[in-house]
Amino acid sequence: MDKNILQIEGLVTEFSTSEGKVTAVNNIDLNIKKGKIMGLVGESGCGKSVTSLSIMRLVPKPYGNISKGKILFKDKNLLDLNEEDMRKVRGNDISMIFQEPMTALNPVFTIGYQIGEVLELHLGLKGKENLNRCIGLLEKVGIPRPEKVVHEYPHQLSGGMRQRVMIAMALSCNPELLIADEPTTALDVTIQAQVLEIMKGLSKELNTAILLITHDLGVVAEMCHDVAVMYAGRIVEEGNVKDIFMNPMHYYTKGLMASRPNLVKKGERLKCIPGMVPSLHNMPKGCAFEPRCSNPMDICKEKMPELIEYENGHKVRCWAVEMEGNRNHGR
Amino acid sequence: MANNIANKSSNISKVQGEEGTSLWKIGAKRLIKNKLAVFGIVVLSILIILSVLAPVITPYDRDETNLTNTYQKPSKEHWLGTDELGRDVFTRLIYGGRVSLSVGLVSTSISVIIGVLLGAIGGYYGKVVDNIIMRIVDIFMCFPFFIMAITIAAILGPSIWNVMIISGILSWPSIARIVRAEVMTVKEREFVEASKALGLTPIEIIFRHILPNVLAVVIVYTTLGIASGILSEAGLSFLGLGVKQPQPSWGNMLSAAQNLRSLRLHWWLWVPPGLLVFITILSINFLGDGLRDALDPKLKH
Repeated sequence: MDKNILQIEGLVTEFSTSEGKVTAVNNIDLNIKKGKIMGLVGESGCGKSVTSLSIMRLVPKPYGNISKGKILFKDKNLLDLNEEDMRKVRGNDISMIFQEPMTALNPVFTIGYQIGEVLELHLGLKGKENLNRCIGLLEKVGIPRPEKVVHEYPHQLSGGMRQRVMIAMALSCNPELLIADEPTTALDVTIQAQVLEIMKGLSKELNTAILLITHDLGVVAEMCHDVAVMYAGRIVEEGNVKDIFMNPMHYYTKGLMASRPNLVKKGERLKCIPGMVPSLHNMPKGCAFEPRCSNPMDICKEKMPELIEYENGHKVRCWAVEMEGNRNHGR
Repeated sequence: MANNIANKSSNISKVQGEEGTSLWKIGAKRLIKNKLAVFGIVVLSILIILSVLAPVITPYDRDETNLTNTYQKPSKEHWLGTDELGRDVFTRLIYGGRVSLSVGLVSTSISVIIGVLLGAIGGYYGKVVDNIIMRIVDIFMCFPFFIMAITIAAILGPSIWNVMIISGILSWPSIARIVRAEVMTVKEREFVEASKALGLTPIEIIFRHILPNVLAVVIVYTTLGIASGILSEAGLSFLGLGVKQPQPSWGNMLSAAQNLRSLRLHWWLWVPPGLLVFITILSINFLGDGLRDALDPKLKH
């Protein structure tokens, strides 16, 4: 069993809105193993990004608030750190890649300045040493003629190049955990593949764990060792990538798998999960997925099922699975 | 990889000279293409050179009176004639330029420093801080400028320093508002969040990442602010509340010529300072407009 680099226990993140309190992340447990890539999948608005912001403690204040839970990074609870210590963790131990490479770089500074700033801040590198390190990093993420690019401005680079610069920046201090919030959504498919390849390679080379947030199942299958599926602020299914893809148990995961376009034959309609994600203001009492489920039961309306582990770390939050499992167990 | 880096570093020195095209360089190029802005730059440069080099350019002393030689028409000796005390008008005009330009610069610097600082802090932190700062701005905006300036000048006494301070302190609210609005939009951009995720402190984020993005607006405002600083100096001096005689300024030269006889007979006493105020303000405004167009990232040629 690999050591966990990040352990989230019972994380609850709430937002206060004009219509009252809303729980964006509801009692999440998540373990990320050292050097492994963990995928976090789910629909828009299911709490993926809020989870990542909670880890970095960047939930927009004062509307958002982490009200419960623990985030253990190397057995140290990040939620107990003061702001000063937390800043030392950010960028140094844990860093983050954002969704929009177009806006995530400051337009008025050169690439070298922006990467160099992080190096100076966390590693105290200055002058030539700093510049050399920047060039080395750019080279590592596969940027052609890095010694020129360091002196260029973000608007002179393409989206894929900028995302690579972001990765270089995020990896500049050899973090142990990299949070990638939909790193390839804004890129076209060929560049997407390159960027993912680079991330995967670097993860292996530097033994960096990655929390990959995405809604692209293809990316997950390609990249991840483990997957957690989120729905309406909760994890509904979790396990290693093979189990999830070969043997999805939760009806939501099954639905997701069935709605992948490459499974559909020509002339057939694309499958989809009917209905909409319930509003966070108006959560059903029981299972949040019950209104859209293809196999709803009476108990689903009444009680939220628990996340129960079946075999080999495969956890599912579903009454139907739980009952079936009990029956099997009883025999 | 270490080897690779070492190899690269030898190339760096070669490359360093050739930098990327920054927004500023693009802006400078666009500015030079703008004829009005170039006109403004040229005129302002001439004015600045004239006032800085005043003692070298004119043979006369600023306050040297010659009562046998009053109200002389422009001639070879006195390019713009002499005034009621026989002082050379051209000499006083270029010395007056020193006062007007420095009042414009200093008062604008005061207002820009206060305005940018408070605007940036308010815009970035929002909430209570922003509320307090913006209410102060509202209060300052309620003050009628000339009445306040006259009152303060009357209490503190007329002097060039008082003019600078008064006009600086009364004009920072508008820049604070502009900067606050800009900061509020810039801080929502993702690179600010990225800098947070990289562990920068709020102060570093404001000064090193947000303000450089707001700089273009500040520069444009500063040029236009200098113009209004010069105007208010001229106005206050004209009312006798600015620069004291015998120190000349364009405003008090106008005020000295303010009698029927001079207005009818001695045009060289009031046309040149008036014209210079006009031309200076016009050039600064041309330059300001040119800068605004040049530094606007939305305009791409």
